[in-house]
Amino acid sequence: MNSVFQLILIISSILFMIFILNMIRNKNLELRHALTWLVTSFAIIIIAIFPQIIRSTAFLLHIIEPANALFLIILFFILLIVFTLTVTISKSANKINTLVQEIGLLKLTVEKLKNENRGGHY
Amino acid sequence: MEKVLIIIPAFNEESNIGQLLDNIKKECPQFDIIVVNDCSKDNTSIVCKSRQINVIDLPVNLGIGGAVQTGYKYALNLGYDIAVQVDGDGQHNPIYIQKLVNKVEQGVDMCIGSRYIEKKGFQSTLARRIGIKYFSREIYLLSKQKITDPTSGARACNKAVIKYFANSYPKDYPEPETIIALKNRDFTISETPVIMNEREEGKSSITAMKSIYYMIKVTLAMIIASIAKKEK
Repeated sequence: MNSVFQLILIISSILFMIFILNMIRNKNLELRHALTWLVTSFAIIIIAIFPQIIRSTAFLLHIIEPANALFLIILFFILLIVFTLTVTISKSANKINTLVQEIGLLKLTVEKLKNENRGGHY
Repeated sequence: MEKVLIIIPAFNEESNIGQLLDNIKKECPQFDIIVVNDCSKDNTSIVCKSRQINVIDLPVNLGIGGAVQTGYKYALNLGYDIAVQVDGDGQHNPIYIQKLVNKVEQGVDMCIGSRYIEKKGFQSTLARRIGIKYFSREIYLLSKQKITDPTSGARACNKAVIKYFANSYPKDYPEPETIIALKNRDFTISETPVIMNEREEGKSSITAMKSIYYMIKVTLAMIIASIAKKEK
């Protein structure tokens, strides 16, 4: 790998990790959901510092072009992130569903209580 | 005397629901009614309230499954023995509500009103009938239960099923899926003939564009429901 390119990759991946950590610190990202991103950014840093990993992975998996091994690894992390997102969305959708139903039921109860009270007064 | 609740999910049904509520009051005044207004943009809620009917106004549109489930939660909270589901569009004639309730009182867990037993009244379009036949066959394959009208939204169920539905109900296109889910948990299901009307106004929730998605989704949902874990 070209050493200038490697330097850029190392710097940008470290900046990316700092960016994520900062987001978590400012409570813009929930650590629980940002964990996949942290792991990913850490993996990119390691790969940027030790590009041999890519070459040996390619060798181990009988991938001729090391760049393809890199794509494979990146794809793996992206799939991981997207999948955890889908899980989170499903859970959130279920929670919203239950909340909306409970609010609807509560609104009716409150309205009934209000009417009863009014009836008692007059 | 069993406590019976009629659950009516409604989304933009201001032109149909008034007539439906009047008919229900005339045919079965002894039953309570709850309308679940799924965040309608029109005056559905006001039309119901002007008739002294209890309305649950959902703050966000949940779709038919979420709306119906709200009704079952209400039934569970207030301890109803039997819940009858009636579509808000006036397709279901209220004279059959008593018939559905009777079946449940006789001991079946859920009774579905079917328009294909006596084949009278509105029979839907050919394309829909083919789709319904297909679901009917799939249900038979998955659960060995003969259901002639699996997409019918006219159904009555007892307390055990109310409790199950309050806890778990599919989000969209729920009817065929719930049949499998109930059979999978050893509930009994029967059908009784009803005559349905053509929709008075408004459109069915299933348009041509959505029908392919609908077929695939319901097919998969039924297969998954048949192999789902049985938490009762």
